[in-house]
Amino acid sequence: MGSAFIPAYQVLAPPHTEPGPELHITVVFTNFDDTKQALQAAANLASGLRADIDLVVPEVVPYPLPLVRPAVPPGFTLRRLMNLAREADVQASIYVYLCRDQVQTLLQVLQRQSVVVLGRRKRWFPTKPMLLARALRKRGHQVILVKCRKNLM
Amino acid sequence: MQKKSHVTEPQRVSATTVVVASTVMLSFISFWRAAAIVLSDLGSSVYYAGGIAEQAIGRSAPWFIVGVMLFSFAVRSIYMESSSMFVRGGVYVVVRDAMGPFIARLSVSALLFDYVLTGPISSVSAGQYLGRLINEITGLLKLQFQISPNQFAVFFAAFVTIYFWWANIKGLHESSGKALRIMQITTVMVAIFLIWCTLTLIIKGPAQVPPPPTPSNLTFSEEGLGWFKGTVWPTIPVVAIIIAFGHSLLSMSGFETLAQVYREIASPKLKNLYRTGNIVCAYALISTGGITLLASFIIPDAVRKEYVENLLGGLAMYLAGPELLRLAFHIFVVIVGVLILSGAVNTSIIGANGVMNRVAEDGVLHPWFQKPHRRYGTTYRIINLITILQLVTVVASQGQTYLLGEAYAFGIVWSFFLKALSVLVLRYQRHDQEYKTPFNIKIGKYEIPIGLAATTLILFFVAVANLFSKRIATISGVSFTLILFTIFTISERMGHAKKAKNGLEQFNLDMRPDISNDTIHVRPGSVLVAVRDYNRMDHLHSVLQKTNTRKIDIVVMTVRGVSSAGTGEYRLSEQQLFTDYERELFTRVVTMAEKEGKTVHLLTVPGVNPFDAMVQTAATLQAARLVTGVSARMDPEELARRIGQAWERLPEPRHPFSLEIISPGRPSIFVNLGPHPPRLWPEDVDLVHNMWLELSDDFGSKLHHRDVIGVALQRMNKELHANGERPNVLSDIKEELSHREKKP
Repeated sequence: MGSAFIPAYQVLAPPHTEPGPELHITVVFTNFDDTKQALQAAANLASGLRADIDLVVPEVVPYPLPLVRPAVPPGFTLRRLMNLAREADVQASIYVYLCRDQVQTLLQVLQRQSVVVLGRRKRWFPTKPMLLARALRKRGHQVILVKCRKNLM
Repeated sequence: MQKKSHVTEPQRVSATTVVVASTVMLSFISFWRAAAIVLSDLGSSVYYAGGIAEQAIGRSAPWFIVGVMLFSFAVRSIYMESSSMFVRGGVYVVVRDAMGPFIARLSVSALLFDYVLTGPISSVSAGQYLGRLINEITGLLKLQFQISPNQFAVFFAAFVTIYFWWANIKGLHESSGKALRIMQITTVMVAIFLIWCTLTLIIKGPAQVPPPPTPSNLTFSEEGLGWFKGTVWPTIPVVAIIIAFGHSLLSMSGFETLAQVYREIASPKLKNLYRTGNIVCAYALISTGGITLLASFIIPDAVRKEYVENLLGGLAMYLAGPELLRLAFHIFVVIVGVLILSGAVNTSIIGANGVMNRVAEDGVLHPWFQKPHRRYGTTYRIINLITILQLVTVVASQGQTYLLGEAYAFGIVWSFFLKALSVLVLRYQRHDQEYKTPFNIKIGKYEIPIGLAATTLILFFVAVANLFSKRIATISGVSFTLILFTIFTISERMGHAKKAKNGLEQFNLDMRPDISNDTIHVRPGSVLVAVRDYNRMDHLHSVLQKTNTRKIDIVVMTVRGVSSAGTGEYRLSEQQLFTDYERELFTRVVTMAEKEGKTVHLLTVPGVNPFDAMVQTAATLQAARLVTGVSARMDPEELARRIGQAWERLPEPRHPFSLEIISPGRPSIFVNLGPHPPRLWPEDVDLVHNMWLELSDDFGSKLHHRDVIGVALQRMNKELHANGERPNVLSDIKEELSHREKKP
């Protein structure tokens, strides 16, 4: 039991042609500014490791709307995310999940002990990415919080 | 990630392709969560319903609020009956099905009026609580600074509306977890109120007892009578009670969410909806009804007029105990109020936007409204329109919740009435109600729905009474409804809007080069159900009813027939594998599964021979059981034999599983595929046992039943292959088969 979610849309990056261990770094979408910087940080981390980068977007659909009818059409979201990955110069696989609850969805879709990168702003109070990181760490994931600067886009 | 490990090079070059179709049904919510979601809408009325009703009908208003909360159990039954027919049925869908598009457009206009007013009444009420708290604090601190609560409420409401307008334009939404946390805090507040109020009544005794809800105790205000003023009608006791009831009905707003969450409620769906409805109504009765009543016992009549706009704030300040503690609780009450009421503003914008998009999909709203925002992709024109209407309403109300509350009840009562009438009409049009509103009398073959008809009639009388007793509501409500209705009608006549696609489910298709448990995320030991004809799916219904999906997964597959040339060098396209027929078929599957509240995994597999495709899929998924229905073209035994032959064609090692063939109204046929222990006839079991008893005297405890069968089989095998004996063996088997057919 838990929050309903639906694996909605995905864009897959080309796989590595050389054989080797499959390592994935997962960037969780927070907002466009911070995610762009998180993607770049993940790319730096992945270089040399031949790791794939996955951008996971848990898109919350609020309750008055049916889960299959989000406020923003998933196709539109997907196009924006593809542009974001292009701007960040990162080849990432993008997964958009329509869901009711962000944390519950991430806990269901992330593989055990995933390496997760999250963008965050420096604030004196606990922000959403910090709370999310805490929840993911509790479940055994390795979370890297990337400090983001304003207006990079 | 669940999917990424499958995106490897060798799989991408494979020519065989399967389609994994997924829709919304990956998991369901518990009835507790569903109740919390409904209550986050319905519970907010505790902050304003009591005060508004008291201004309109006088001191006996709390009893009417309690009466409305009791009546909500009847309305709950109507929503349950409607949901048992329409898994995804809001007011619009139900009314359209029962009474056609004309009345449906009227009902959706009333619903939108309700949504548009939810925002202003909630935000203005929150502003009133906040403004009056500020005055309370400055008064205690002996400061000269005092604000006008009405002006502050307008300012605050405009600020909250604009804040949520921007959030909706950007399409950013909070997780449902936040609404649940607000409900948890609200529950804490309600519990404190109930305990503290009880203690106050014990310590100080009631300041007064509200007069019973009799016609003689009703003191209607001028606005409370509206066009009834000066007529004979309010002097008629029944009419007076109905008018008073109409002024209290706004405490029941938010029921529409019950229909919206039904789709996501877990199995057993209807039972859980029943529980959800009961929790919601009981909670509302205790919180909205109970607290309003307690306020009328505790806040002295002489000062209660000062607290009509912030009844709970007043109640907090008149509890027994030190002033500082009361003030602290007052602050807590206001914080909870601001949270829950602001949440309702957001819900109103989202809900109205959702309803307008829904009617646009149905072809009754011009596509101009649906133009997506250039940067954020949201339907900004609809959001702008809703926000402008809400801001105009906020300013026009001048910060008085009373005016807003009166108008608000218009939308609520008419959408309730039209829904109830539709469910009543459907009682005679359809016969698939899994739940019926109680109190039905059967006379011969006719059923008279006393409970449903009585509830509909009460709602009708209240709606009509409201038309005359609430001038502002009627003028604004009718104008709004007519304007929207005209827009809908013109849009439809212009024919610009696209028509809905016959209500077919939109599936997300995932083309996969092969099948595995990881591909479709099912555990080994699943039940694989083969479907082809959407008019013959009794077997799926049976599996859905019997299977506990927490332990066993259900995979529903259909075989897309292809010629042997189609499986060769070129990969089949999505359109070839998932045609409109598969979409229709899977839509029916999803509807059945939703009704049971069970998750199913959908799969389309191309195949030259459907039996091979079914068996190969079952083996690959390591299914425990393959279930099919009966075929119109072959009897069940032949079907079992063909599937058995397909199993024999599987490469070694073959995964054993059982086959179940379900025919409606007959016992299922079970066949174990592959080597398996036989199920012996009872008389054969007796025979083996008697032989074992006879032989065990010679061999002692070492001899088992299996040894007896083993020897018998070896001897038979020897005879079968010995010269001249084979015809005798075959003749014995023939006799056994004819004997078996006579067995029951």
